[in-house]
Order: sequence, then C-alpha cells, then structure tokens
Amino acid sequence: MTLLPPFRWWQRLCETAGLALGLVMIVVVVYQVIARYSPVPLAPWTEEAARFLFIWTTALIAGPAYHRGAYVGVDLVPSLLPDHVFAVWARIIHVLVIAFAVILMLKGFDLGQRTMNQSTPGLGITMGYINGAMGFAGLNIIIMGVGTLLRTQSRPRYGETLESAEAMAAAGSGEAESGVAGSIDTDRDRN
Amino acid sequence: MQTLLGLFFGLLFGGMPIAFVLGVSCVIYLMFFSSFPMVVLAQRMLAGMNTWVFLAVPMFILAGNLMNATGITDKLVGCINSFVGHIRGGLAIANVQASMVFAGVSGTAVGDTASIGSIMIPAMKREGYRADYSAAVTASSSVVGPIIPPSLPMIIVAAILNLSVGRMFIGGILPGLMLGIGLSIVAAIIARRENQPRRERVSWVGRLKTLGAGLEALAMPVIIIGGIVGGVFTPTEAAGVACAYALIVGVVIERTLPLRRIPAVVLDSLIMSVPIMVLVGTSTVFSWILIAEQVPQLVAEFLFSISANPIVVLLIINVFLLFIGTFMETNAAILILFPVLFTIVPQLGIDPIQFALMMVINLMIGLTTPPMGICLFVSGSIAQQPIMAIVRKLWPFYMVLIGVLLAVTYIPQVTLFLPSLIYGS
Repeated sequence: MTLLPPFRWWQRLCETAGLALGLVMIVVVVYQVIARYSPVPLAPWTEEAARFLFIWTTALIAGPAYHRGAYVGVDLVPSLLPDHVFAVWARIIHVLVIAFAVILMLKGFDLGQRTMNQSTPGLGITMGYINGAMGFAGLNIIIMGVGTLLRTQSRPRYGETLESAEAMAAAGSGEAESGVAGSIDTDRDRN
Repeated sequence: MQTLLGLFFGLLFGGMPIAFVLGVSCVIYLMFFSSFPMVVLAQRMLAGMNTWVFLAVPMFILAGNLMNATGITDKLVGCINSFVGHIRGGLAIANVQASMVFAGVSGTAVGDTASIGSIMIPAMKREGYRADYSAAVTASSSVVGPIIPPSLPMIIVAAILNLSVGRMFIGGILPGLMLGIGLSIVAAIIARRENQPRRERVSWVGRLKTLGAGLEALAMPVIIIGGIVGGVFTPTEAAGVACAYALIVGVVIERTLPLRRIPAVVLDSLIMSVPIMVLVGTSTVFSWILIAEQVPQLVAEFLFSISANPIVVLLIINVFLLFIGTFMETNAAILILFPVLFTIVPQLGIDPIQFALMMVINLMIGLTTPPMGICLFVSGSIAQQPIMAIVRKLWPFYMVLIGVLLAVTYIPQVTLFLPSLIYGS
C-alpha cells in the first residue's frame, strides 16, 4: 500500500530523523561505558541525553510504525468477518486511532507548553521540548493514520508494508515476524 | 469502571492495536468518569517511557538483528550440528540447542523461531524429518529465547515492577537450561521411537573448526551476562555494547554486513521496538487508572476469596495467564496484568523475582499455543504446515514447558539459587 506523495515524504522525513536520533542514542550509551573505563572524561549528561533521544525517536517513528502496521492487536474476531464488513470495520478502527491521536497531540503540546519554564537537571535544556514529544507523536500518528486511511482497503497488519524487513527476510536474516504476519494477510486477501 | 473495562474488551476483541485500545479507554475514562485533567494522559505516558531500562529494548532488538544480518546463525547451527548431529534425531536436538545459544543473542522468542527455523526446518525436511514435527520442535524451543538472558519481556517486567534486571536475567538461566535439556530429551525419545535419521560423526578437528566459526555468536551472551554480573555495565549499557559488538563482527571481522545495509536494519529494529514503547506509555496511564480505582485490591480479594492457600492461588494465576497468553500479545499482557497481579505477592509469601519469572515463562508458553501463538505461525509459515498439524506434534513438548513452569512456581531455588549465589540474598 503506497501512500500519497505528501504522506510518503512525511514518512521518509520522520524515519530518517528517527533513525539518526536512534543511532546517536546508541553512540551516547556506548560512550557512557567507554568513558567509565578510559581517560575520556565521564559526562554526567549521557543517561539523560540517551533517554530524551529515545523519547524523540519514539515520537518520530510512532507514525510510520502505524502506517507499516507494526502495532499488534487481537484480530481473531475481525478475521472471521466477511470482507466487506471487515473493510468498513477497519476504517472505523483507523478513525478511532486518529481521534485518540488528536487528544494526545493537543494534551502533549499543552504539557510541553506548561513546562517551557522548567529545565532538565543534566543537560539544562527546556523541559517543554522533551514533554512536547508526546504532542508530536500524536501529530505524527494523525498524519500517517490519515495517509493510511486514504489508501487502505483493509486494516493494516504487522508487516503489511514493511519493505525493508521484507528485503531482510529475502536475504535470510529472519525478520520473519513481519513477513509471517504479512503472509496471514496474503492468505486473507487470497480467501 | 465497568464502562472502562467494557470498552477495553470491546475494542480489544474488535482488533484495534492494543496500544490504542488502552489509549482510547483511558481517554474515555478521563473525559467522562474522572475529575483528573486530560493532560494526565500525556504526562503519564511520558513518565512511563522516560525510563533508562527501556532503552535496552530497541538496542537488544538491534543487536539480534545485526547478528542475524551478519549471517552468524548459519555458523552457530553448523557448530552445534557438528557436536550432536550424529545422535539419532540429532538435527531436532541441534535445533533446540541452537535456540538456547541464540537466546543469548536475540532476547525474543519470535527472533529465535525465525532465525533458527529458517535454517533448521528446511534442513530437517531435507534429511527426512516430518515437516510438522520440524516446525513443532522449532516453535517449542523458541520459548527458551526470552528466558535465557538477554530477555526483552524481563526488561519490561523489571522496569514496570521496579525489580533488578540483573537478578531477573540470572534467575532465568536455570529455568532456560531446564527447558532446553527437557526439550532435547523429549526430542531424543521421539527420535528413537520414530527411528529418525542421524548424520555421520564429525571428527574433533572438524568440530573445533566449526566451534571457531561459531565463537563470535557464542561470545555475545558471555559478554552480556559477564558484563552485567561482573558489574562492568548495566543491562541497558550491555544492550549498547551488544550493538557495538555486533557491528564490529559484521562490518570489521566477518565483513558480511555492508555499511549501506545498516540503516535498514536499524530502522527495522526501531519499527519493531517503538510500538512496544507506545504500548508502555498507554499502559502506564491504564495501570494508573486501575490503581486509582483500587482494581488490584479487588483482584486480590477475589483471588483469596476462592482460596487462602497460596499454592491454589498460584495455580489459578497460572491457568489464567496460560489462557490470556493464548490470544494476547506478550508485552501487552505483561504491561496490563503484571502490575495488578504483582500486588498480591506479599500475601503469597513468594519472592518477587520468582513470581515475575513465573509469569514471564507462563506467557511465553502462549507463543506456541493456538489460536494466536506467533511462534506457531512463524514456524508453520517456514515449514508450510497448518497450525493444527504442528500442535498435534507439540503435545510432548508442552509437557516439558508446563513441567518447568510448575517447577518455577513451586520450587523457589529454580529461579532464586543463581541470583542469591551471585548477588547475595
């Protein structure tokens, strides 16, 4: 399921930024270990920085992960529904998720705004920038949710559009959690 | 509260992703049934995610994926085959033992099933093993994955229940070994009964060569467990070190992992781990509401109204979790149920680590049971076998899984001996 261009660009932007922050997070954690056992000065900010990087990585990837169907659910009952009912129900589920994301966005940005005058203990950066991540996560899920809703024929399942994971599976790396769930979808499509 | 639970179960069985089922339920509760401000939703979600221990989740997933992408699994399987392949049913036994070693790399049962299964199931089929049996061995042995450290479910449990990750990791070693040995014995008995094939014995020189090749994979759990037990680094730092180690093996030593492939592997790992973190966030709000509504106390009262005997209560909890595990995703079950069930630990007189491990092992069994056992689906997909055909072959292995679960439940030493030995009581 290919997204419309603006949604696709947003997805790429978020994934690239999330990837970059995730890599920096790993570097910070490894640096923390190295610094402890080497003459490199031990920085007091590493743990806090790694946590905040992970929070923003989560906020950036939360939307694309929704589009890729990476959030698992109990689909035993929906899988028994006739295809046309299933398609309608899938859209209702999308709308409910988007509604939740709207609340999360509003209240997340509200929380960020309320804490703009507080600083983090280690890095000394404005707490509002960290707390605002929840608002961004909501916004991200809304955008990717709408993008998915516009193009979807059925509710996304884990791995439905996990292109890179499929490539990995083809290379024998075993990212098969996605691949297999994808095959369940295929079965359903075939049926 | 009834409305909240009704909405929760309605959406849950309606197929909505569990992270959002919890989120929507919490929003409805905060909006209509409480006087708390709605901003609590974002604040509690952030508080749940802003935990140092949780950083280990994406990094352990990444370390396992990087090792996989390096092609280390083939070498590991080759190494174990050279040692046990000559025994009757040796490939089935090698399948179990490869899962045990790979458990020290991956930390997830599904990772085990996919990695080991993609190599072992075709190999077993080629050598004359039944496809459904090959899938059954793979699925059951994958349960060991999250029990032998590192373990993603244990990290999540330790974080939400304020337990020591190190103690939980070490506590999982003995049950993990018991499972591996028990499953190997069952595989050996079945091999004799069904006169399964055996391979030619490999010379000791050949074995040492394969051991050398598999050493990079074997070193990973040693680095992780050794580093944590030796106090060199925390479990979260161990996950970072594991990533660095996997990168060095793949890019510098083996040179089988091209640099251009790394972003895709990292992105895959993030796509797998971020939904867990969103689930952590929404379940934190949900748990907070349950506690505010005194649900844990009600559950405790209900359980002890059935029986005051801790043995019976533990049995009820086990049966309940086995049932839940058949249809609910593991991390969701942990995040929703564990904080509630954990409140009765003082009344049961059981060690928190033992209780937590019991619950983790219990839910892992659910990964191999229909209708929603993900390991069943993965192994069934690789073997191209229907789920129920695999389940028929799984029964002897279920006996081992249940046996170890009962041992963990009622014999404290099984989980507490090693942590006490290493960390003191």
